[in-house]
Amino acid sequence: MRIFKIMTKEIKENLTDKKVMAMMVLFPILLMIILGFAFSNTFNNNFKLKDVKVIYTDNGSKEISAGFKNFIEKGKEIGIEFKEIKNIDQGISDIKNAKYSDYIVLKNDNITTYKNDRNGIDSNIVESMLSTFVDRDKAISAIAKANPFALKNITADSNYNFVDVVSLDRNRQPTSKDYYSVTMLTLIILYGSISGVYAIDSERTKKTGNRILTSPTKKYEILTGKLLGTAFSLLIQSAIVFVFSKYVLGAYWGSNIGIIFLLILSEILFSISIGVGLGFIIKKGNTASGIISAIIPFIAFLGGSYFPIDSISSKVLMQIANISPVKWTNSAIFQIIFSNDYSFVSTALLINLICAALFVGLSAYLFSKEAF
Amino acid sequence: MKAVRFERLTKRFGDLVALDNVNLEIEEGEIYGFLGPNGAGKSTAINIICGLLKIDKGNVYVFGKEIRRDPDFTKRNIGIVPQDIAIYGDLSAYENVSFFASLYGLRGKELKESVEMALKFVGLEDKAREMPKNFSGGMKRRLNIACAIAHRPKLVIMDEPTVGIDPQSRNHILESVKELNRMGSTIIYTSHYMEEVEAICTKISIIDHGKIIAEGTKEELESIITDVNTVMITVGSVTGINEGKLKEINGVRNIEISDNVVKIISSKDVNNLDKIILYFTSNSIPIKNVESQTPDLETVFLTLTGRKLRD
Ligand SMILES: Nc1ncnc2c1ncn2[C@@H]1O[C@H](COP(=O)(O)OP(=O)(O)OP(=O)(O)O)[C@@H](O)[C@H]1O
Ligand SMILES: [Mg+2]
Repeated sequence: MRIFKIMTKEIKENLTDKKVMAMMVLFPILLMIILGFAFSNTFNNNFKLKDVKVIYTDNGSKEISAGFKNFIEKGKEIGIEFKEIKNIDQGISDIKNAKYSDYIVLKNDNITTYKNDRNGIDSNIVESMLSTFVDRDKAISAIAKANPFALKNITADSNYNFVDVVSLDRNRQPTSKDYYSVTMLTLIILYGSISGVYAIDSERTKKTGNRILTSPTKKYEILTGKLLGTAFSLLIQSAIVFVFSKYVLGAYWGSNIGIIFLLILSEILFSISIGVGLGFIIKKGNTASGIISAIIPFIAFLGGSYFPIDSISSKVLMQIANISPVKWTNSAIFQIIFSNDYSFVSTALLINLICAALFVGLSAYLFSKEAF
Repeated sequence: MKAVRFERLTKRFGDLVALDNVNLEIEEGEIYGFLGPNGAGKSTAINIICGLLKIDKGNVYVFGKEIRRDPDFTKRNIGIVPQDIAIYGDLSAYENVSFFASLYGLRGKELKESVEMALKFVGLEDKAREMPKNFSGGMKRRLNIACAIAHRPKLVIMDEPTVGIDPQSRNHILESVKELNRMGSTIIYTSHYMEEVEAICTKISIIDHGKIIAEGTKEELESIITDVNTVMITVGSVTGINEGKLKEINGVRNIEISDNVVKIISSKDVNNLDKIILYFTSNSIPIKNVESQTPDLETVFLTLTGRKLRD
């Protein structure tokens, strides 16, 4: 019963704090709207590429030509325009003038690509796609150095994951609105850990913690009440953001909301426990929340909160991204919504819940040692 | 029965001995005053009674039960008004009192009535729905008290409940302390303010450097110092007065200088007024008034500790 009292007190404090509510509810909603519009071109049209024009000269061997034909067909499907030209010098000069995104030259067993920095992203996509259709080693064996000032090469270790995108293409694709609805929700839940910090620290600064401790309330009741209260507050805040994204913005959340809810809930427990834990470890709330605010952008970046890193990044970065807990949650949610694929769910749940358990345990230990 | 009993109670913070082998008994029904300067150990004693600090040595009994044996019993019967205001600025006055009272197991109608009683008691019934963050210092202090009494504790401990408030709020608080006592609660009251302690406490102990250096009723304490004379000398300006030189005068025990009044405590059996006055005149410090003072607690304190109650 005392647990319930502490929990409701916590919820009341959290949900009536206008500053906190603005941060936790308005902020993510605004970001969803802004980012959703700002990047709608990058995300829209089911990954159909607009105005990506590629020229090529095919003097290649039989095998490589066959692979290349394959590539052209696939490329057309997603909106790339192809044009064959005979004169190599003409092609290179067209690229210098940025008339086209890429110029691909097939000669015997070699593929050389020319690109202009001004079309950076477009040609990245073309190249990564190309590399999946043609034997990669051969493709990159010849490197053009025609004009160091305007031209850039495919570097030998670049690895683009366009295969994933191509395979996803068969399913529904997230628009920028869909994408940011998920990532802003999971991002703001990360920031919810700061409520966890202040659930502990405010009792310290207001001196009310000691007052609670002079009542017959047990420490486990305080800790449980605080964890449940802040978690529930964060759940309410998340629910508002979710409802807004789904019903006002019209973001697509797929048909299995139940599992997504579980993932969100596990992330909430994860965030709150870490916040509460840091509240106990670091005796100054502002320091603790400062540390959290400094770490979140990093974790969120790796988790793809700001943009999907797997479509543009290197293998190394993608491997590093695995340390970001929110990456797992985001991936799991996207897989459910857009591929009906549940393979990430258990990993994401486990990561969130194990971290939560560790920090709850640590909090309980520290709290048993001393007062707030 | 004894409301509180300390048995050779010692509390250290590192090298600092905050409470030094203290023995103390507080009878049920008293308004018991802890009087002592900053850092004397008053709050330490209180925080030990209510279980916030661990005992290093000795025992503490509340209503006959050792507090570590039965912490729940102790906690249920104590209401603490902490020195630092401990309320939630963003919850209404009512919600504050109700939250703390509910931690003592009050529910439903009983809870509602108790909360209303407590708010009325401190004169905040009209402000029940308002947020304490907008309250004046005095109102916050009063709410701080209400949060401690809604569960009707048998022992109410007030740690400097009147710090930094207007005289009207102070009188209200002092009256309510007496009223609480009449309603049956034992009170422990700490303060720097002599007048307050003199006005309401039935028994007082003077604490300094973690020790009780005197205990008794106001009259008993004052009788301790019937062997001293107090002279108050009002001067034009206190600059230029050398305390050390004054103390060298035969019979002078203690000196307190405030504003432009020099308070000199001397042994009764030494006649040194002429020498004291000579000191002032020979140092060209014009004397505006000389007055001898009847003993009060302030003087008791100064005599016993050589320190002023407040800096
Ligand atoms: N948690 C602590 N850690 C270290 N020292 C402490 C702690 N609490 C109190 N002290 C020291 O113990 C001594 C007694 O402090 P206490 O707070 O009991 O004094 P007090 O009589 O209540 O003074 P005040 O009138 O200023 O409130 C002081 O010297 C103080 O600095
Ligand atoms: Mg104190």
